[in-house]
Amino acid sequence: MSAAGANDPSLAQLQRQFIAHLRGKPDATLQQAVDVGRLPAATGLRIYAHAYGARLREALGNDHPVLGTYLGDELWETLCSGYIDAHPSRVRSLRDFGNALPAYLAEAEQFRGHPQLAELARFERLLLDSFDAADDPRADWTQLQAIPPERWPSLRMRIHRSVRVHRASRGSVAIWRAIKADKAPPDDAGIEDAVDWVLWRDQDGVGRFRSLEHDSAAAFGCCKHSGSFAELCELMAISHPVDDVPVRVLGYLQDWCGQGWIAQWDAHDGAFGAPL
Amino acid sequence: MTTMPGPSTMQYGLLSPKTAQGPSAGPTTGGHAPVVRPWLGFGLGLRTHYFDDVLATAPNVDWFEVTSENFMVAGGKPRHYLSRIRERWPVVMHGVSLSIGSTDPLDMAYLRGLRELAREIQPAWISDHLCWTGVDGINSHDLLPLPYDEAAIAHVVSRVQQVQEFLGREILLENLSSYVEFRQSQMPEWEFVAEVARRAGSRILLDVNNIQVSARNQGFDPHDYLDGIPADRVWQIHLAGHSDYGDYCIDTHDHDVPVEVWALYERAIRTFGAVSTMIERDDDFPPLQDLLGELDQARGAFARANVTHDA
Repeated sequence: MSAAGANDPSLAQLQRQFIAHLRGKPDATLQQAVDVGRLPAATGLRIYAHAYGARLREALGNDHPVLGTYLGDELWETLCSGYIDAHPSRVRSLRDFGNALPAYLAEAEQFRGHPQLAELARFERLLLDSFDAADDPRADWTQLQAIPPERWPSLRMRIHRSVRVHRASRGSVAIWRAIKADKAPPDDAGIEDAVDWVLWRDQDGVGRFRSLEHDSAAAFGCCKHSGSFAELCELMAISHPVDDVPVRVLGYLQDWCGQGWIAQWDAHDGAFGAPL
Repeated sequence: MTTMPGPSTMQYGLLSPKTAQGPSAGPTTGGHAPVVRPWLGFGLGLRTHYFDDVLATAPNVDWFEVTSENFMVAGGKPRHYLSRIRERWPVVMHGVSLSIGSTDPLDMAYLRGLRELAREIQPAWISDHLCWTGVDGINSHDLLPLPYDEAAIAHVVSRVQQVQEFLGREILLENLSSYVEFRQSQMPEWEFVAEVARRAGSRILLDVNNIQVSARNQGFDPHDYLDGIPADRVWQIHLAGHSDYGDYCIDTHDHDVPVEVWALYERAIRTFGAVSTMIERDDDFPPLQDLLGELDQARGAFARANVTHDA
Protein backbone atom coordinates (compact mmCIF):
# COMPACT_ATOMS: atom_id res chain seq x y z
CA MET A 1 0.00 0.00 0.00
CA SER A 2 1.15 3.48 -0.73
CA ALA A 3 0.13 7.10 -0.79
CA ALA A 4 -1.43 8.18 -4.08
CA GLY A 5 1.36 8.76 -6.59
CA ALA A 6 1.51 11.00 -9.62
CA ASN A 7 2.81 8.09 -11.67
CA ASP A 8 0.00 5.72 -10.74
CA PRO A 9 -1.96 4.60 -13.78
CA SER A 10 -5.51 5.84 -13.97
CA LEU A 11 -8.21 3.25 -13.36
CA ALA A 12 -8.95 3.10 -17.09
CA GLN A 13 -5.26 2.62 -17.94
CA LEU A 14 -4.92 -0.10 -15.34
CA GLN A 15 -7.97 -1.92 -16.67
CA ARG A 16 -6.71 -1.74 -20.27
CA GLN A 17 -3.34 -3.10 -19.20
CA PHE A 18 -5.04 -5.89 -17.31
CA ILE A 19 -7.21 -6.93 -20.25
CA ALA A 20 -4.19 -6.83 -22.57
CA HIS A 21 -2.41 -9.16 -20.15
CA LEU A 22 -5.36 -11.56 -20.11
CA ARG A 23 -5.29 -11.59 -23.91
CA GLY A 24 -1.65 -12.61 -23.96
CA LYS A 25 -0.31 -9.17 -24.78
CA PRO A 26 1.73 -8.50 -21.66
CA ASP A 27 2.34 -4.94 -20.59
CA ALA A 28 5.43 -4.35 -18.49
CA THR A 29 3.77 -1.47 -16.69
CA LEU A 30 1.15 -3.86 -15.30
CA GLN A 31 3.85 -5.94 -13.63
CA GLN A 32 5.07 -2.75 -11.97
CA ALA A 33 1.54 -1.80 -10.92
CA VAL A 34 1.05 -5.07 -9.06
CA ASP A 35 2.24 -5.12 -5.48
CA VAL A 36 4.79 -7.67 -4.39
CA GLY A 37 2.99 -9.44 -1.61
CA ARG A 38 2.93 -12.96 -0.30
CA LEU A 39 1.97 -14.20 -3.76
CA PRO A 40 4.49 -13.15 -6.44
CA ALA A 41 2.99 -10.69 -8.93
CA ALA A 42 3.78 -12.95 -11.87
CA THR A 43 2.00 -15.88 -10.22
CA GLY A 44 -1.09 -13.84 -9.48
CA LEU A 45 -1.26 -12.43 -12.99
CA ARG A 46 -0.74 -15.88 -14.46
CA ILE A 47 -3.71 -17.21 -12.47
CA TYR A 48 -5.97 -14.59 -14.05
CA ALA A 49 -4.64 -15.17 -17.57
CA HIS A 50 -5.04 -18.92 -17.25
CA ALA A 51 -8.60 -18.54 -15.96
CA TYR A 52 -9.49 -16.22 -18.86
CA GLY A 53 -8.45 -18.70 -21.53
CA ALA A 54 -9.86 -21.70 -19.69
CA ARG A 55 -13.23 -20.05 -19.24
CA LEU A 56 -13.60 -19.14 -22.91
CA ARG A 57 -12.42 -22.59 -24.05
CA GLU A 58 -14.91 -24.19 -21.70
CA ALA A 59 -17.74 -22.08 -23.15
CA LEU A 60 -16.84 -23.13 -26.69
CA GLY A 61 -16.53 -26.74 -25.61
CA ASN A 62 -19.92 -26.69 -23.90
CA ASP A 63 -21.59 -25.26 -27.00
CA HIS A 64 -19.76 -27.39 -29.58
CA PRO A 65 -19.15 -30.87 -28.16
CA VAL A 66 -19.63 -32.57 -31.54
CA LEU A 67 -17.41 -30.15 -33.45
CA GLY A 68 -14.75 -30.68 -30.79
CA THR A 69 -14.90 -34.44 -31.18
CA TYR A 70 -14.88 -34.18 -34.98
CA LEU A 71 -11.78 -31.99 -34.97
CA GLY A 72 -9.83 -33.89 -32.32
CA ASP A 73 -7.87 -32.32 -29.47
CA GLU A 74 -5.09 -30.71 -31.48
CA LEU A 75 -7.23 -28.97 -34.09
CA TRP A 76 -9.79 -28.03 -31.46
CA GLU A 77 -7.07 -26.27 -29.49
CA THR A 78 -5.92 -24.51 -32.66
CA LEU A 79 -9.48 -23.40 -33.31
CA CYS A 80 -10.02 -22.17 -29.74
CA SER A 81 -6.73 -20.25 -29.63
CA GLY A 82 -7.35 -18.61 -32.98
CA TYR A 83 -10.94 -17.73 -32.24
CA ILE A 84 -10.25 -16.38 -28.74
CA ASP A 85 -7.47 -14.24 -30.15
CA ALA A 86 -9.52 -12.95 -33.10
CA HIS A 87 -12.81 -12.50 -31.26
CA PRO A 88 -12.39 -11.21 -27.71
CA SER A 89 -15.73 -11.50 -25.97
CA ARG A 90 -17.95 -8.46 -26.38
CA VAL A 91 -21.07 -10.24 -25.15
CA ARG A 92 -22.55 -10.31 -21.69
CA SER A 93 -23.18 -14.03 -21.56
CA LEU A 94 -20.66 -16.75 -22.35
CA ARG A 95 -23.60 -18.43 -24.04
CA ASP A 96 -23.11 -15.99 -26.92
CA PHE A 97 -19.32 -16.02 -27.05
CA GLY A 98 -19.23 -18.56 -29.87
CA ASN A 99 -21.79 -16.82 -32.07
CA ALA A 100 -19.15 -15.93 -34.65
CA LEU A 101 -17.54 -19.37 -34.66
CA PRO A 102 -19.26 -20.56 -37.89
CA ALA A 103 -18.13 -17.41 -39.71
CA TYR A 104 -14.61 -17.79 -38.29
CA LEU A 105 -14.43 -21.40 -39.51
CA ALA A 106 -15.61 -20.30 -42.96
CA GLU A 107 -12.88 -17.66 -43.22
CA ALA A 108 -9.85 -18.82 -41.22
CA GLU A 109 -7.12 -20.11 -43.51
CA GLN A 110 -6.64 -23.36 -41.64
CA PHE A 111 -10.32 -24.31 -41.71
CA ARG A 112 -11.98 -22.75 -44.75
CA GLY A 113 -10.99 -25.65 -47.00
CA HIS A 114 -13.33 -27.88 -44.97
CA PRO A 115 -16.73 -26.20 -45.25
CA GLN A 116 -18.46 -28.95 -43.31
CA LEU A 117 -16.85 -27.47 -40.18
CA ALA A 118 -18.62 -24.12 -40.47
CA GLU A 119 -21.86 -25.93 -41.29
CA LEU A 120 -21.52 -28.25 -38.30
CA ALA A 121 -20.77 -25.29 -36.02
CA ARG A 122 -23.82 -23.46 -37.37
CA PHE A 123 -26.01 -26.52 -36.72
CA GLU A 124 -24.81 -26.73 -33.11
CA ARG A 125 -25.47 -23.03 -32.57
CA LEU A 126 -28.97 -23.30 -34.04
CA LEU A 127 -29.69 -26.17 -31.66
CA LEU A 128 -28.74 -23.87 -28.78
CA ASP A 129 -30.73 -20.94 -30.17
CA SER A 130 -33.81 -23.07 -30.58
CA PHE A 131 -33.50 -24.51 -27.10
CA ASP A 132 -33.12 -21.07 -25.48
CA ALA A 133 -35.77 -19.31 -27.58
CA ALA A 134 -38.59 -17.30 -26.08
CA ASP A 135 -41.68 -19.11 -24.87
CA ASP A 136 -44.55 -19.11 -27.31
CA PRO A 137 -48.05 -20.57 -27.50
CA ARG A 138 -48.91 -23.44 -29.86
CA ALA A 139 -51.79 -23.20 -32.28
CA ASP A 140 -54.37 -25.97 -32.31
CA TRP A 141 -55.69 -27.67 -35.45
CA THR A 142 -59.29 -27.27 -34.34
CA GLN A 143 -58.78 -23.48 -34.28
CA LEU A 144 -58.01 -23.56 -38.00
CA GLN A 145 -61.12 -25.61 -38.67
CA ALA A 146 -63.19 -22.93 -36.93
CA ILE A 147 -62.04 -20.22 -39.34
CA PRO A 148 -64.66 -19.55 -42.08
CA PRO A 149 -63.37 -20.84 -45.47
CA GLU A 150 -63.82 -17.45 -47.14
CA ARG A 151 -61.06 -16.09 -44.89
CA TRP A 152 -58.59 -18.85 -45.63
CA PRO A 153 -56.90 -17.22 -48.64
CA SER A 154 -55.56 -14.42 -46.45
CA LEU A 155 -54.69 -16.76 -43.58
CA ARG A 156 -51.09 -16.48 -42.34
CA MET A 157 -49.25 -18.69 -39.94
CA ARG A 158 -47.04 -17.27 -37.22
CA ILE A 159 -44.21 -19.72 -36.66
CA HIS A 160 -43.22 -20.77 -33.14
CA ARG A 161 -40.29 -18.74 -31.88
CA SER A 162 -38.16 -21.79 -31.16
CA VAL A 163 -38.20 -22.88 -34.82
CA ARG A 164 -34.93 -22.56 -36.77
CA VAL A 165 -34.15 -23.84 -40.26
CA HIS A 166 -30.73 -25.30 -41.01
CA ARG A 167 -29.81 -25.79 -44.66
CA ALA A 168 -27.28 -28.61 -44.87
CA SER A 169 -25.28 -29.34 -47.99
CA ARG A 170 -22.03 -30.56 -46.43
CA GLY A 171 -23.24 -33.48 -44.39
CA SER A 172 -23.28 -31.60 -41.09
CA VAL A 173 -26.32 -33.40 -39.69
CA ALA A 174 -24.97 -36.82 -40.67
CA ILE A 175 -21.67 -35.98 -38.97
CA TRP A 176 -23.49 -34.72 -35.88
CA ARG A 177 -25.65 -37.83 -35.64
CA ALA A 178 -22.75 -40.22 -36.12
CA ILE A 179 -20.64 -38.59 -33.44
CA LYS A 180 -23.56 -38.40 -31.01
CA ALA A 181 -24.04 -42.13 -31.55
CA ASP A 182 -20.33 -42.81 -30.96
CA LYS A 183 -19.90 -43.90 -34.56
CA ALA A 184 -17.35 -42.85 -37.13
CA PRO A 185 -18.54 -39.78 -39.06
CA PRO A 186 -19.07 -40.18 -42.81
CA ASP A 187 -15.86 -39.76 -44.81
CA ASP A 188 -17.27 -37.85 -47.71
CA ALA A 189 -18.42 -34.43 -46.65
CA GLY A 190 -18.51 -33.06 -50.16
CA ILE A 191 -21.35 -31.05 -51.61
CA GLU A 192 -24.67 -32.86 -51.55
CA ASP A 193 -28.22 -31.78 -52.33
CA ALA A 194 -29.22 -29.14 -49.85
CA VAL A 195 -31.66 -30.39 -47.22
CA ASP A 196 -33.62 -28.12 -44.91
CA TRP A 197 -33.78 -29.26 -41.31
CA VAL A 198 -36.29 -27.75 -38.92
CA LEU A 199 -35.08 -27.42 -35.33
CA TRP A 200 -37.57 -26.69 -32.55
CA ARG A 201 -38.29 -27.06 -28.86
CA ASP A 202 -41.27 -29.30 -28.20
CA GLN A 203 -44.07 -29.02 -25.65
CA ASP A 204 -41.91 -30.77 -23.05
CA GLY A 205 -39.00 -28.39 -23.58
CA VAL A 206 -36.99 -31.00 -25.49
CA GLY A 207 -34.92 -29.82 -28.47
CA ARG A 208 -35.79 -31.69 -31.69
CA PHE A 209 -34.99 -31.57 -35.40
CA ARG A 210 -36.19 -33.27 -38.58
CA SER A 211 -35.72 -32.81 -42.29
CA LEU A 212 -38.28 -31.55 -44.79
CA GLU A 213 -38.69 -33.00 -48.26
CA HIS A 214 -38.22 -30.53 -51.10
CA ASP A 215 -41.81 -29.28 -51.61
CA SER A 216 -42.52 -29.16 -47.92
CA ALA A 217 -39.34 -27.14 -47.35
CA ALA A 218 -40.34 -24.62 -50.02
CA ALA A 219 -43.82 -24.32 -48.53
CA PHE A 220 -42.46 -23.92 -45.01
CA GLY A 221 -40.04 -21.25 -46.22
CA CYS A 222 -42.97 -19.35 -47.74
CA CYS A 223 -44.98 -19.73 -44.55
CA LYS A 224 -42.05 -18.65 -42.37
CA HIS A 225 -41.71 -15.48 -44.41
CA SER A 226 -45.34 -14.55 -43.76
CA GLY A 227 -46.74 -16.08 -46.93
CA SER A 228 -50.53 -16.45 -46.91
CA PHE A 229 -52.51 -19.63 -47.54
CA ALA A 230 -53.24 -18.36 -51.07
CA GLU A 231 -49.54 -17.71 -51.70
CA LEU A 232 -48.70 -21.17 -50.41
CA CYS A 233 -51.21 -22.64 -52.85
CA GLU A 234 -49.79 -20.60 -55.74
CA LEU A 235 -46.31 -21.84 -54.92
CA MET A 236 -47.41 -25.47 -54.87
CA ALA A 237 -49.39 -25.02 -58.10
CA ILE A 238 -46.10 -24.49 -59.94
CA SER A 239 -45.21 -28.15 -59.58
CA HIS A 240 -48.50 -29.90 -58.80
CA PRO A 241 -51.94 -30.16 -60.42
CA VAL A 242 -54.10 -27.29 -59.23
CA ASP A 243 -56.83 -29.58 -57.96
CA ASP A 244 -54.36 -31.37 -55.67
CA VAL A 245 -52.92 -28.21 -54.18
CA PRO A 246 -55.37 -27.37 -51.36
CA VAL A 247 -55.23 -30.90 -49.97
CA ARG A 248 -51.43 -30.89 -50.19
CA VAL A 249 -51.14 -27.53 -48.41
CA LEU A 250 -53.60 -28.58 -45.72
CA GLY A 251 -51.54 -31.73 -45.24
CA TYR A 252 -48.45 -29.64 -44.66
CA LEU A 253 -50.22 -27.34 -42.22
CA GLN A 254 -51.60 -30.29 -40.28
CA ASP A 255 -48.13 -31.81 -40.08
CA TRP A 256 -46.49 -28.56 -38.90
CA CYS A 257 -49.27 -27.83 -36.45
CA GLY A 258 -48.97 -31.33 -35.02
CA GLN A 259 -45.25 -30.82 -34.51
CA GLY A 260 -45.90 -27.59 -32.64
CA TRP A 261 -44.23 -25.34 -35.22
CA ILE A 262 -47.21 -22.98 -35.57
CA ALA A 263 -47.85 -20.51 -32.78
CA GLN A 264 -50.90 -18.78 -34.17
CA TRP A 265 -53.33 -18.67 -37.10
CA ASP A 266 -53.76 -15.10 -38.27
CA ALA A 267 -56.84 -14.65 -40.48
CA HIS A 268 -56.30 -11.06 -41.52
CA ASP A 269 -58.97 -9.49 -39.33
CA GLY A 270 -58.37 -11.58 -36.27
CA ALA A 271 -55.87 -13.96 -34.72
CA PHE A 272 -56.82 -17.54 -33.94
CA GLY A 273 -54.87 -19.53 -31.46
CA ALA A 274 -53.55 -19.26 -27.97
CA PRO A 275 -53.24 -15.60 -26.97
CA LEU A 276 -49.78 -14.07 -27.07
CA MET B 1 -44.94 -16.24 -14.94
CA THR B 2 -46.89 -17.28 -11.92
CA THR B 3 -48.41 -14.38 -10.06
CA MET B 4 -46.41 -13.54 -6.98
CA PRO B 5 -47.80 -12.07 -3.80
CA GLY B 6 -48.06 -8.33 -4.22
CA PRO B 7 -45.75 -5.82 -2.60
CA SER B 8 -48.38 -4.89 -0.06
CA THR B 9 -47.90 -8.23 1.67
CA MET B 10 -44.14 -8.21 1.56
CA GLN B 11 -41.12 -6.37 2.72
CA TYR B 12 -38.73 -6.54 -0.23
CA GLY B 13 -40.48 -9.66 -1.43
CA LEU B 14 -40.25 -11.68 1.74
CA LEU B 15 -43.21 -13.96 2.10
CA SER B 16 -43.04 -13.70 5.87
CA PRO B 17 -40.91 -10.75 6.88
CA LYS B 18 -38.67 -11.53 9.78
CA THR B 19 -36.02 -9.42 11.31
CA ALA B 20 -32.63 -10.27 12.68
CA GLN B 21 -31.62 -9.72 16.26
CA GLY B 22 -27.91 -10.12 16.53
CA PRO B 23 -25.29 -8.16 18.37
CA SER B 24 -25.11 -5.54 15.64
CA ALA B 25 -28.36 -5.62 13.75
CA GLY B 26 -29.62 -2.21 14.80
CA PRO B 27 -31.35 0.44 12.71
CA THR B 28 -29.46 1.80 9.75
CA THR B 29 -29.89 4.73 7.43
CA GLY B 30 -29.77 3.31 3.91
CA GLY B 31 -31.57 5.46 1.35
CA HIS B 32 -33.84 2.79 -0.11
CA ALA B 33 -33.60 0.25 2.62
CA PRO B 34 -35.73 -1.28 5.27
CA VAL B 35 -34.10 -0.04 8.49
CA VAL B 36 -33.61 -3.51 9.90
CA ARG B 37 -31.64 -6.30 8.25
CA PRO B 38 -34.09 -8.88 6.89
CA TRP B 39 -33.58 -12.45 8.04
CA LEU B 40 -34.13 -15.09 5.38
CA GLY B 41 -32.53 -18.00 7.18
CA PHE B 42 -30.35 -20.64 5.54
CA GLY B 43 -30.32 -20.87 1.77
CA LEU B 44 -28.68 -22.47 -1.24
CA GLY B 45 -27.39 -21.18 -4.54
CA LEU B 46 -29.86 -22.55 -7.08
CA ARG B 47 -28.07 -24.38 -9.88
CA THR B 48 -29.63 -26.17 -12.85
CA HIS B 49 -28.09 -29.39 -11.55
CA TYR B 50 -30.54 -29.33 -8.62
CA PHE B 51 -33.73 -28.06 -10.29
CA ASP B 52 -35.50 -31.42 -10.39
CA ASP B 53 -34.30 -32.54 -6.95
CA VAL B 54 -35.49 -29.32 -5.37
CA LEU B 55 -38.95 -29.56 -6.87
CA ALA B 56 -39.30 -33.26 -6.18
CA THR B 57 -38.08 -33.27 -2.59
CA ALA B 58 -38.94 -29.77 -1.27
CA PRO B 59 -35.77 -29.72 0.84
CA ASN B 60 -35.40 -27.96 4.15
CA VAL B 61 -34.02 -24.77 2.63
CA ASP B 62 -35.35 -21.36 3.67
CA TRP B 63 -34.52 -19.51 0.45
CA PHE B 64 -32.59 -19.72 -2.82
CA GLU B 65 -30.14 -17.42 -4.49
CA VAL B 66 -30.46 -17.39 -8.29
CA THR B 67 -27.84 -16.21 -10.74
CA SER B 68 -29.61 -13.28 -12.40
CA GLU B 69 -28.12 -13.76 -15.85
CA ASN B 70 -29.27 -17.38 -16.07
CA PHE B 71 -32.86 -16.18 -16.02
CA MET B 72 -32.55 -13.01 -18.09
CA VAL B 73 -33.53 -15.08 -21.11
CA ALA B 74 -36.64 -15.03 -23.23
CA GLY B 75 -38.01 -18.37 -22.13
CA GLY B 76 -37.37 -22.06 -21.96
CA LYS B 77 -36.71 -24.37 -19.07
CA PRO B 78 -34.80 -22.02 -16.73
CA ARG B 79 -37.73 -19.61 -16.46
CA HIS B 80 -40.14 -22.50 -16.04
CA TYR B 81 -38.16 -23.90 -13.11
CA LEU B 82 -37.64 -20.49 -11.53
CA SER B 83 -41.35 -19.82 -11.65
CA ARG B 84 -42.15 -23.07 -9.88
CA ILE B 85 -39.44 -22.64 -7.27
CA ARG B 86 -40.43 -19.03 -6.62
CA GLU B 87 -43.96 -20.21 -5.82
CA ARG B 88 -42.57 -21.99 -2.78
CA TRP B 89 -39.46 -20.16 -1.63
CA PRO B 90 -38.16 -16.61 -1.26
CA VAL B 91 -35.33 -15.86 -3.64
CA VAL B 92 -32.54 -13.32 -3.94
CA MET B 93 -30.90 -12.33 -7.22
CA HIS B 94 -27.11 -12.53 -7.57
CA GLY B 95 -25.45 -11.16 -10.70
CA VAL B 96 -22.00 -11.33 -12.27
CA SER B 97 -22.30 -8.73 -15.03
CA LEU B 98 -22.80 -5.39 -13.30
CA SER B 99 -19.08 -4.56 -13.60
CA ILE B 100 -19.57 -1.79 -11.10
CA GLY B 101 -15.87 -0.90 -11.08
CA SER B 102 -15.36 -0.70 -14.84
CA THR B 103 -14.51 2.59 -16.49
CA ASP B 104 -16.88 1.68 -19.32
CA PRO B 105 -20.36 3.24 -19.10
CA LEU B 106 -22.93 1.31 -17.11
CA ASP B 107 -24.73 -1.25 -19.27
CA MET B 108 -28.26 0.14 -19.20
CA ALA B 109 -29.67 -2.73 -21.25
CA TYR B 110 -28.39 -5.11 -18.58
CA LEU B 111 -29.88 -2.97 -15.84
CA ARG B 112 -33.23 -2.87 -17.59
CA GLY B 113 -33.17 -6.65 -17.83
CA LEU B 114 -32.26 -6.90 -14.16
CA ARG B 115 -35.08 -4.57 -13.17
CA GLU B 116 -37.54 -6.51 -15.28
CA LEU B 117 -36.54 -9.84 -13.75
CA ALA B 118 -36.78 -8.31 -10.27
CA ARG B 119 -40.25 -7.01 -11.06
CA GLU B 120 -41.31 -10.52 -12.01
CA ILE B 121 -39.79 -12.58 -9.24
CA GLN B 122 -39.75 -10.03 -6.40
CA PRO B 123 -36.41 -10.98 -4.87
CA ALA B 124 -35.65 -10.12 -1.27
CA TRP B 125 -32.61 -8.28 -2.63
CA ILE B 126 -30.24 -7.96 -5.57
CA SER B 127 -26.48 -8.43 -5.35
CA ASP B 128 -23.39 -8.42 -7.53
CA HIS B 129 -19.65 -8.12 -6.95
CA LEU B 130 -17.32 -5.30 -5.98
CA CYS B 131 -15.21 -5.71 -9.08
CA TRP B 132 -14.91 -4.98 -12.76
CA THR B 133 -15.29 -7.51 -15.56
CA GLY B 134 -14.09 -5.70 -18.68
CA VAL B 135 -13.20 -2.46 -20.40
CA ASP B 136 -13.53 -0.98 -23.89
CA GLY B 137 -16.39 -3.39 -24.48
CA ILE B 138 -14.26 -6.50 -23.97
CA ASN B 139 -15.66 -8.85 -21.36
CA SER B 140 -13.19 -11.00 -19.42
CA HIS B 141 -16.07 -12.97 -17.88
CA ASP B 142 -14.08 -12.83 -14.66
CA LEU B 143 -14.41 -10.86 -11.45
CA LEU B 144 -11.34 -8.63 -11.49
CA PRO B 145 -9.93 -6.64 -8.57
CA LEU B 146 -9.74 -2.88 -8.18
CA PRO B 147 -7.00 -0.81 -6.61
CA TYR B 148 -8.08 0.15 -3.11
CA ASP B 149 -7.71 3.91 -3.41
CA GLU B 150 -9.80 7.05 -3.19
CA ALA B 151 -10.21 7.35 -6.95
CA ALA B 152 -11.66 3.85 -7.20
CA ILE B 153 -13.96 4.45 -4.22
CA ALA B 154 -15.31 7.66 -5.77
CA HIS B 155 -15.80 5.95 -9.11
CA VAL B 156 -17.59 2.93 -7.65
CA VAL B 157 -19.74 4.92 -5.23
CA SER B 158 -21.02 7.15 -8.01
CA ARG B 159 -21.99 4.13 -10.10
CA VAL B 160 -23.58 2.24 -7.20
CA GLN B 161 -25.75 5.26 -6.52
CA GLN B 162 -26.82 5.38 -10.18
CA VAL B 163 -27.66 1.67 -10.11
CA GLN B 164 -29.61 1.96 -6.86
CA GLU B 165 -31.52 4.92 -8.21
CA PHE B 166 -32.35 3.00 -11.38
CA LEU B 167 -33.43 -0.16 -9.55
CA GLY B 168 -35.19 1.77 -6.81
CA ARG B 169 -33.52 -0.30 -4.12
CA GLU B 170 -30.22 -0.88 -2.39
CA ILE B 171 -27.87 -3.44 -3.81
CA LEU B 172 -25.44 -5.76 -2.06
CA LEU B 173 -21.84 -6.02 -3.27
CA GLU B 174 -19.75 -9.10 -2.61
CA ASN B 175 -16.05 -9.18 -1.75
CA LEU B 176 -13.81 -11.08 -4.17
CA SER B 177 -11.15 -13.68 -3.98
CA SER B 178 -8.07 -11.98 -5.37
CA TYR B 179 -4.66 -13.03 -6.62
CA VAL B 180 -3.03 -9.64 -7.05
CA GLU B 181 -3.03 -6.35 -5.20
CA PHE B 182 -2.11 -3.06 -6.78
CA ARG B 183 0.82 -0.99 -5.62
CA GLN B 184 -1.30 2.15 -5.69
CA SER B 185 -3.74 0.80 -3.07
CA GLN B 186 -3.98 3.10 -0.07
CA MET B 187 -5.91 0.89 2.32
CA PRO B 188 -6.59 -2.78 3.03
CA GLU B 189 -9.43 -4.44 1.13
CA TRP B 190 -11.81 -4.43 4.09
CA GLU B 191 -11.56 -0.65 4.42
CA PHE B 192 -12.30 -0.33 0.72
CA VAL B 193 -15.34 -2.64 1.00
CA ALA B 194 -16.60 -0.77 4.07
CA GLU B 195 -16.08 2.70 2.57
CA VAL B 196 -17.96 1.87 -0.61
CA ALA B 197 -20.89 0.53 1.41
CA ARG B 198 -20.96 3.51 3.77
CA ARG B 199 -20.70 6.18 1.11
CA ALA B 200 -22.97 4.55 -1.48
CA GLY B 201 -25.58 3.38 1.01
CA SER B 202 -25.18 -0.14 -0.32
CA ARG B 203 -24.95 -3.40 1.62
CA ILE B 204 -22.34 -6.11 1.79
CA LEU B 205 -22.59 -9.71 0.73
CA LEU B 206 -19.74 -11.19 2.70
CA ASP B 207 -18.18 -14.26 1.12
CA VAL B 208 -16.30 -15.84 4.00
CA ASN B 209 -14.51 -18.26 1.70
CA ASN B 210 -13.26 -15.37 -0.42
CA ILE B 211 -11.85 -13.70 2.68
CA GLN B 212 -10.01 -16.90 3.53
CA VAL B 213 -8.66 -17.29 -0.02
CA SER B 214 -7.49 -13.68 -0.25
CA ALA B 215 -6.00 -13.83 3.25
CA ARG B 216 -3.89 -16.82 2.18
CA ASN B 217 -2.87 -15.18 -1.09
CA GLN B 218 -2.22 -11.69 0.23
CA GLY B 219 -0.95 -12.64 3.66
CA PHE B 220 -3.39 -10.75 5.88
CA ASP B 221 -5.21 -11.96 8.99
CA PRO B 222 -8.83 -12.78 8.07
CA HIS B 223 -9.94 -11.70 11.54
CA ASP B 224 -8.65 -8.19 10.79
CA TYR B 225 -10.89 -8.27 7.73
CA LEU B 226 -13.98 -9.16 9.79
CA ASP B 227 -13.12 -6.51 12.38
CA GLY B 228 -13.01 -3.87 9.65
CA ILE B 229 -16.46 -4.57 8.23
CA PRO B 230 -19.41 -2.51 9.56
CA ALA B 231 -21.95 -5.01 10.91
CA ASP B 232 -25.02 -3.01 9.94
CA ARG B 233 -23.99 -3.20 6.27
CA VAL B 234 -23.73 -7.00 6.10
CA TRP B 235 -26.93 -8.57 4.80
CA GLN B 236 -25.84 -11.89 3.41
CA ILE B 237 -23.07 -14.45 3.81
CA HIS B 238 -21.73 -16.90 1.24
CA LEU B 239 -20.04 -20.10 2.35
CA ALA B 240 -18.04 -22.14 -0.15
CA GLY B 241 -14.91 -24.18 -0.67
CA HIS B 242 -11.71 -23.57 -2.60
CA SER B 243 -8.66 -25.31 -4.00
CA ASP B 244 -5.50 -25.14 -1.91
CA TYR B 245 -2.26 -25.38 -3.89
CA GLY B 246 0.02 -24.94 -0.92
CA ASP B 247 1.59 -21.64 -1.89
CA TYR B 248 -1.76 -20.14 -2.78
CA CYS B 249 -5.48 -20.83 -2.93
CA ILE B 250 -7.88 -20.50 -5.84
CA ASP B 251 -11.52 -19.75 -5.38
CA THR B 252 -13.07 -22.65 -7.27
CA HIS B 253 -16.32 -23.00 -5.31
CA ASP B 254 -16.17 -26.70 -6.14
CA HIS B 255 -15.32 -28.19 -2.76
CA ASP B 256 -17.07 -28.67 0.55
CA VAL B 257 -16.77 -25.76 2.95
CA PRO B 258 -13.41 -26.38 4.69
CA VAL B 259 -12.84 -26.28 8.41
CA GLU B 260 -11.03 -22.92 8.38
CA VAL B 261 -13.97 -21.30 6.59
CA TRP B 262 -16.38 -22.76 9.13
CA ALA B 263 -14.28 -21.31 11.94
CA LEU B 264 -14.19 -17.92 10.25
CA TYR B 265 -17.94 -18.08 9.68
CA GLU B 266 -18.63 -18.72 13.34
CA ARG B 267 -16.47 -15.75 14.20
CA ALA B 268 -18.35 -13.67 11.62
CA ILE B 269 -21.81 -14.34 13.01
CA ARG B 270 -20.59 -13.71 16.55
CA THR B 271 -19.49 -10.31 15.23
CA PHE B 272 -22.35 -9.49 12.87
CA GLY B 273 -25.32 -11.34 14.37
CA ALA B 274 -27.98 -13.17 12.39
CA VAL B 275 -27.00 -12.76 8.77
CA SER B 276 -28.84 -14.80 6.13
CA THR B 277 -26.40 -17.50 5.09
CA MET B 278 -26.10 -19.77 2.09
CA ILE B 279 -23.90 -22.45 0.58
CA GLU B 280 -22.59 -21.47 -2.83
CA ARG B 281 -21.49 -24.43 -4.92
CA ASP B 282 -20.56 -23.72 -8.56
CA ASP B 283 -19.01 -26.94 -9.82
CA ASP B 284 -18.34 -30.59 -9.07
CA PHE B 285 -21.85 -30.79 -7.69
CA PRO B 286 -22.44 -33.30 -4.88
CA PRO B 287 -25.85 -34.82 -4.12
CA LEU B 288 -28.28 -32.19 -2.83
CA GLN B 289 -28.30 -34.00 0.49
CA ASP B 290 -24.63 -33.11 1.00
CA LEU B 291 -25.36 -29.41 0.63
CA LEU B 292 -28.27 -29.74 3.04
CA GLY B 293 -25.80 -31.28 5.48
CA GLU B 294 -23.61 -28.20 5.14
CA LEU B 295 -26.63 -26.01 5.81
CA ASP B 296 -27.20 -27.98 9.00
CA GLN B 297 -23.59 -27.24 9.94
CA ALA B 298 -24.33 -23.55 9.48
CA ARG B 299 -27.37 -23.90 11.72
CA GLY B 300 -25.13 -25.59 14.27
CA ALA B 301 -22.69 -22.70 14.13
CA PHE B 302 -25.59 -20.35 14.81
CA ALA B 303 -26.59 -22.36 17.83
CA ARG B 304 -23.03 -22.43 19.17
CA ALA B 305 -22.64 -18.71 18.62
CA ASN B 306 -25.95 -18.17 20.46
CA VAL B 307 -27.16 -15.88 17.69
CA THR B 308 -30.91 -15.34 17.67
CA HIS B 309 -33.45 -14.08 15.23
CA ASP B 310 -37.22 -13.75 15.12
CA ALA B 311 -38.65 -17.12 14.10
